[in-house]
Amino acid sequence: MTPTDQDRRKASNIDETDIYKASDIDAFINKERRHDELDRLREIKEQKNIWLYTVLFCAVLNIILIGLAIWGAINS
Amino acid sequence: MNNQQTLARGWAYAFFSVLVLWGLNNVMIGYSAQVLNANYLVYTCSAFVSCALFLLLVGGKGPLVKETLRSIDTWVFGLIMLIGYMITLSLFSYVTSTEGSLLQRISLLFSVIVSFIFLSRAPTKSQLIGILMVLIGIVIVCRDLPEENRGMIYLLMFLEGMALTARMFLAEIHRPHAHAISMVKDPRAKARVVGFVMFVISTFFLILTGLLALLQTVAPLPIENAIIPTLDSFKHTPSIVAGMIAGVALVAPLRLIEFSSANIIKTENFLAIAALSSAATFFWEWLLSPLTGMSVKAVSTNDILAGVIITVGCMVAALGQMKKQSAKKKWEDDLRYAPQNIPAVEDSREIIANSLEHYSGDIKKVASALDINPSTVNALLDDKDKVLAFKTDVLKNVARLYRRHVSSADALTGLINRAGFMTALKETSDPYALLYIDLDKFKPVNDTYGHDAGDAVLVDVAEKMKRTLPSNALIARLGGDEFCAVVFNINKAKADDYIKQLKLTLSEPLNYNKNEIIIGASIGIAFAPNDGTDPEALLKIADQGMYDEKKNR
Repeated sequence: MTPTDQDRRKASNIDETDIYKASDIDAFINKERRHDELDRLREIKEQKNIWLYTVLFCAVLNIILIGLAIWGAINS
Repeated sequence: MNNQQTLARGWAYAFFSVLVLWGLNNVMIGYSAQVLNANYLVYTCSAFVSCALFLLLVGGKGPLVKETLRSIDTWVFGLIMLIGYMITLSLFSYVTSTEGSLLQRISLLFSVIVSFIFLSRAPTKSQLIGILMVLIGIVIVCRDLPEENRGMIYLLMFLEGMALTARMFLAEIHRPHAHAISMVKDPRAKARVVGFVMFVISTFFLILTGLLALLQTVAPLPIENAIIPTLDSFKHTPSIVAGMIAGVALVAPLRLIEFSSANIIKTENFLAIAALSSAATFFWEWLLSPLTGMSVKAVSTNDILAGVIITVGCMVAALGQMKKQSAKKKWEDDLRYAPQNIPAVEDSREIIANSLEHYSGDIKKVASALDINPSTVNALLDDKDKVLAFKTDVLKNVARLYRRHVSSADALTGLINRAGFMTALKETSDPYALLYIDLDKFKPVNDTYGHDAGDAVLVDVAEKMKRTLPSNALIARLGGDEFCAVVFNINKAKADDYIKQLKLTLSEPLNYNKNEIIIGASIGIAFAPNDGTDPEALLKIADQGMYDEKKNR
């Protein structure tokens, strides 16, 4: 039976946790030649980017609120 | 962790979140409003925004990020929470906080109805008694309400109950969170998912509060209303600082536990336990009064009576369910009446028949191996009319355990059989040495002492192999007197050592009915990946090695 993409993905040697931790996911993408693995790496890259942008946005909201609180404290 | 342990953890989480986190959170809200003069909406915005950031950082990078943000469950949860907060604020503007928290318990009635209609969870007697007591308590509270506002209060109470029920049900069935729970290897996934849910809610809250503040600043409402913020409220340092502390220390663990607990013990039970929040708030207010400087509010006798009835009612409902969930399962929990579904009935009967054969008719062993109650096995055996079958969700688990313990196991030795061995080999990616073992002088044992003696020898060989080889080795009986063993991550020299030890151990005499039985073993070997990676091919190589050894002897 021909292995499916899912079978190949299961047999992948790269641990997903390591890819999430890696700072340069493009290095994995440039090295990878299997299309199913590439899809997986691109998916992880997208997940990481969404997480990062959300955290940044949320941090900005927190900073704005803290900034307003400091402004209020100084003025009073 | 088994089901009972998971359930116990779910109940413990629920009690902890209501008695400690919920109570402390209410005290913090009261302290912020009364002592710090914080604006409630600005305080809530800060709490949610800091909670979201904290949970996102705890959750870290990982899967389910996109799924959570794009899930309709997340957005509906956020919207309902927002609407719920607005209803709560409106309700609490008509009644005292004690009365409001007691009226909220109408959610027990709604949650039991919703779980019955949509999730087929029939209400139990204890739940019905609990609901009756809650309704009596609510009637007592309503007696004291100001007559001119009663209509509005009743409406808000129903809306509040429905919003709370909907929110908790969404927490229970939230699909990305349910997926996160199943990701055992990624325990931070739950915090990540709840972090994104809180991010959505905090964004909703900030937009709404910001708009309200802008409108109130530009065109103030003609009435005095302390809840609606102005733009200046956002510069009120205590509101924001208190909110941020509460967000990280109380709201974040509270939401995290709320999601997990609702999923494990189910919404209606969590909402029943939530009745303790009034008593918990009262306790923490009293305990922390020297620190906060707040005096514990006097509560009317009417409200105390209603509070006791409602809390006892909710506890009756919760504890009844807790007892039911922790009770030993009966066969009715595993089986269904399915006279029309012949394949399901046949499958169920075949699984039990084969399992009984495998475990020599020992019902307890069968029940333990398949994680079902022994009464389930008896019920299927007694089912002469052939009308009982495993419930669909039970069948999935039973079939999985059947494959693991029965269909892939050798009944005599307890080792895995050929099919199980080949499946396990196909799933492994580590290098290994495959040993093919064929017993010498086994046929004369059968011929001389009978098949019982032969069986005893095979069981003894299995035990000796387990004793000699490393604990993580895969040992199988392929059939007859042929065995196989896989030892992972070893070199040729070490593999040769194991072969020598095995030959020595297997040639030790076995005492059977005062007779000394001596056998030997021929062993062939193959290495993965050096000799190939296909298990069938490796088996052939090792088999050939064993055959050559036997021939050259």
